[in-house]
Amino acid sequence: MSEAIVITSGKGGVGKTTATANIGTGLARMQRKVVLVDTDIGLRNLDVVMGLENRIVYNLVDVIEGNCRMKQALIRDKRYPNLYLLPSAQTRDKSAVTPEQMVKLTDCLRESFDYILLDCPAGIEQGFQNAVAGADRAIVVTTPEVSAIRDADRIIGLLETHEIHDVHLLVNRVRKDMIRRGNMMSIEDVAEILSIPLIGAVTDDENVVISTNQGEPLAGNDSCAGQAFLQICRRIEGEEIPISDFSRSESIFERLSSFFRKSERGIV
Amino acid sequence: MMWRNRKKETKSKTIAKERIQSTLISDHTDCTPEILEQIEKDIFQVIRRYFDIKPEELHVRLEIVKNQK
Repeated sequence: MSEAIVITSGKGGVGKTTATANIGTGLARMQRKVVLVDTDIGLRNLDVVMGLENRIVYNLVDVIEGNCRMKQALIRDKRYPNLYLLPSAQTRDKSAVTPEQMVKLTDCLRESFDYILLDCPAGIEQGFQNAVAGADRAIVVTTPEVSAIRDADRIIGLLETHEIHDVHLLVNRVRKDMIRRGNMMSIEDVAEILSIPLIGAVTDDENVVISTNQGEPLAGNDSCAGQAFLQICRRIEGEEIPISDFSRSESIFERLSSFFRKSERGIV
Repeated sequence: MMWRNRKKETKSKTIAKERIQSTLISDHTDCTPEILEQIEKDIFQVIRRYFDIKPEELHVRLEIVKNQK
């Protein structure tokens, strides 16, 4: 049984591509056959996050236009042999593809993969229509900010009109310290406002930037974000893992280390 | 010092939550925040017809409750 999941947000820069790369990597670590599809035609990004930018020969538009076979366009990941990328075209625009063609493409991928992750472009125009066309379910990425939540709400409404009813929320860039001080909405606040079920939350972890610099997604490694993404993957697989409480008080060790970090920067 | 007056201020998270909630109500209803505020005032006036209450004794606030699936 194969599943096509669209990762979307409405607003740009909230972490869709990072989430796609990491969820894909996490699922591949769990021995699933995964393909990541970059549906942002004209603004190719997923390839650099995956560190596969130098291997691209053909792209999604080439497959759709019949310039190559699907197999020729799929790029195997550097580390996981069961993880593939279908890159987007950089020199074309969104009108090069129709939703019907995307449905056909997704169905073709279903034959060889357990999971098809569709990285959706920002916005609600044709790029969004294309990305959601072939999807069975959706993960809406947001940050705990007013602007991102508003766009997420709009996207949730649009997913419903596209008959996608299995919709989950991923809250990204969460800062425990700010939540504790009352300067950031908690995960529960965000979930309550958007009233869709949570699939997970990822802290604002500098390791994400480092891993993107290196072109190696961190899902599954020891970092906070790496563990959070792995948990999200397990929940996608149907496991019931409680979402850790981000507003709980810190241990003495955590307090001390944050105290020293602040005193280094001269805040205290 | 910072911590002394921290308690009196409304936490920025609370402000954010109230702002996003009222923004979403006006997005969903296609009403401007001004109209929504007027509706709240009108509801207050209606209640006032039946009860003798001062404005500070009753807070009327609109909220959208979505159906949880």
